[in-house]
Amino acid sequence: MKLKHLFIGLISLLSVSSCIQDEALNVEAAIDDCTGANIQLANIDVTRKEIEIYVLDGTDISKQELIFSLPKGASIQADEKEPGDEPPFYNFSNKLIRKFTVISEDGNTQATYIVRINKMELPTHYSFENLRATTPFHIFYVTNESGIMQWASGNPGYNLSGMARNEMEYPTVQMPIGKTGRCLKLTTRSTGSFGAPLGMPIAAGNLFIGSFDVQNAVLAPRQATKFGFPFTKLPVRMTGWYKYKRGATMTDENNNTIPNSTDTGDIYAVLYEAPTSDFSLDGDLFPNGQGIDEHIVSMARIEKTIETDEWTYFDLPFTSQNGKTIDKEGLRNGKYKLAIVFSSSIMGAYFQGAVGSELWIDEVEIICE
Amino acid sequence: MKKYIFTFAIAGLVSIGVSFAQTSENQLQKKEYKGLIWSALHGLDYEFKAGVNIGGTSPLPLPQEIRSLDYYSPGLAITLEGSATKWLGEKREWGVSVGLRLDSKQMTTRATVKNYGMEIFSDTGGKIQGLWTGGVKTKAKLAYLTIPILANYQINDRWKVVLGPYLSYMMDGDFSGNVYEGHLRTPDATGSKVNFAGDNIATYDFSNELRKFQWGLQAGGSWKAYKHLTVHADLTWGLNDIFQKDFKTITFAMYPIYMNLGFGYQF
Repeated sequence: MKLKHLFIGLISLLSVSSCIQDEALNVEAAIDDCTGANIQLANIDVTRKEIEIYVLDGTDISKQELIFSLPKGASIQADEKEPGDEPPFYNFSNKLIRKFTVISEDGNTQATYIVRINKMELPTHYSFENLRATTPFHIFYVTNESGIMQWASGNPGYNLSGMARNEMEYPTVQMPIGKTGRCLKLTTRSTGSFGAPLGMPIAAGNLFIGSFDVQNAVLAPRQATKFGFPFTKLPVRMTGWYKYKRGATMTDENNNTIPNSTDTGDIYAVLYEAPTSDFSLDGDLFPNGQGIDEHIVSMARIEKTIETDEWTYFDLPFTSQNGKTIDKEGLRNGKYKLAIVFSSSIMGAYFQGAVGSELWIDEVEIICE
Repeated sequence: MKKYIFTFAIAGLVSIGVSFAQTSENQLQKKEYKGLIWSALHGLDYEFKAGVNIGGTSPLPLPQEIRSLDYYSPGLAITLEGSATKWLGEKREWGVSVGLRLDSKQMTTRATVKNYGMEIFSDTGGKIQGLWTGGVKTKAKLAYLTIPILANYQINDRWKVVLGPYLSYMMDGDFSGNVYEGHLRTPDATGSKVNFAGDNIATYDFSNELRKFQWGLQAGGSWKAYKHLTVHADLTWGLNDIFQKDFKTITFAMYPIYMNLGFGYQF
């Protein structure tokens, strides 16, 4: 009998000490997304806590809607109030750069973001000379007299794999010697033990105008790459220089070898109809590498990148797609977006490619009418 | 290699047990009996026990990060032990026993956590770190060589209770799992959110961070069913963290707490 008591005592001690405690308040403080009327593109740099918001020229920014996605329980406030602020509408007409601070539910974590409203036109010449950031990975930007805009890449997604030990081991990097000045180098890389169970054993190097939504990088990687920016001119040709070296073994999304297959890089620009300002094409614009999205009206695309270690010139004409014609009035009014995309593996969006494939790019130009 | 050592050790213990059983029945019976009688006269008992470990490796108390336990399986964790007890005094109520136990401690759990600190190392040695909110599956499979040093108290002819410390050496350890259905905030509470759902999982493996030496307390009792057959129940409570001191990813210490149930043969 005594023994029984001893056991009951011990077991109850064990169960009492294993009780679930009261839930703690959330410690997360960040801006996960920013949307709102008239926003053409929003780029969030989580590392530097900067948000670049792009609107069309002529947009009224005295009442700019900004809907922030925040962690559960967190709150946000503008650091300095402006006359006319009525969240979620904020007045940016006096200051194009404003600061916002997010405070976590438990009040112990806070993060201050710089939010800037940009009205700029997409430049048409790209030299890959400028980096906005060098750590933890390279972020390129384009600039002209109307402002600056960063290029998006899959680097933030590759960051999750933990494979890169320094910024040069990412798929998208700047190299010091290009055709003229510096250049872009894209490399298809392995994502190691993180990517394989997710069906993403490789990451093709890519660079594009648009944004990369790291929130959905694992869930829906193709939808996480959002391509395009409003374009008001009529593009006729895309020119530039490239070098290509293909990786040894083609593998599929399960990391199995694809026999009798070789990799090729991809260089293209598409002009597409954007029914609303927040509409953009994503990584599924060529479904399964075969089709073409119905919004695309015009496209310039390289047939294949030949293997060469000499800088090779390309001159690609824009041709009409889906039997569509361009509405010139709509073009002037910002109803079309242009996506410019480079990738070291043409089927990289579907996680097919050869680790080690390298595409070097420099001095690209969109020639307009 | 470790697995082989483990197998050999099991084989060794089993053959000792078997040979004890056999020799007591063969021609050497007389001599063996003499040995056992000598032992009995000097207050020495020998026992061979087999059992299963049911329990878990858990932080105590459960930290706030753990919101619910959704699934638990003890696995089949078999233990084998040989022990000798020296009884003291005239009445032989008190005794001291020393044993050698092949100890397997296992569990598989699924828990829901909130802001659970984690760090995953990649193939290149780079790492992903942050706070995880969502599901965590943990599989622990630990094989120890354990020496329990116990005080024995004989309540009556049938009942015996024991209490004392044990020392364990880990021969093989696997502590791994994956995270699912939730989001990672990386690298810290102000970092980027990465959602996981459906088949999306991220795997982790902390097997190399496990501590080799463990110690704790054991308490329990046994009941003599027949002349040679005993049944026992012992609680073993680990008192040091199963992970090495410099391992910071799991912010709380984890202790192995297992109930050992089984039977024994007393010579």
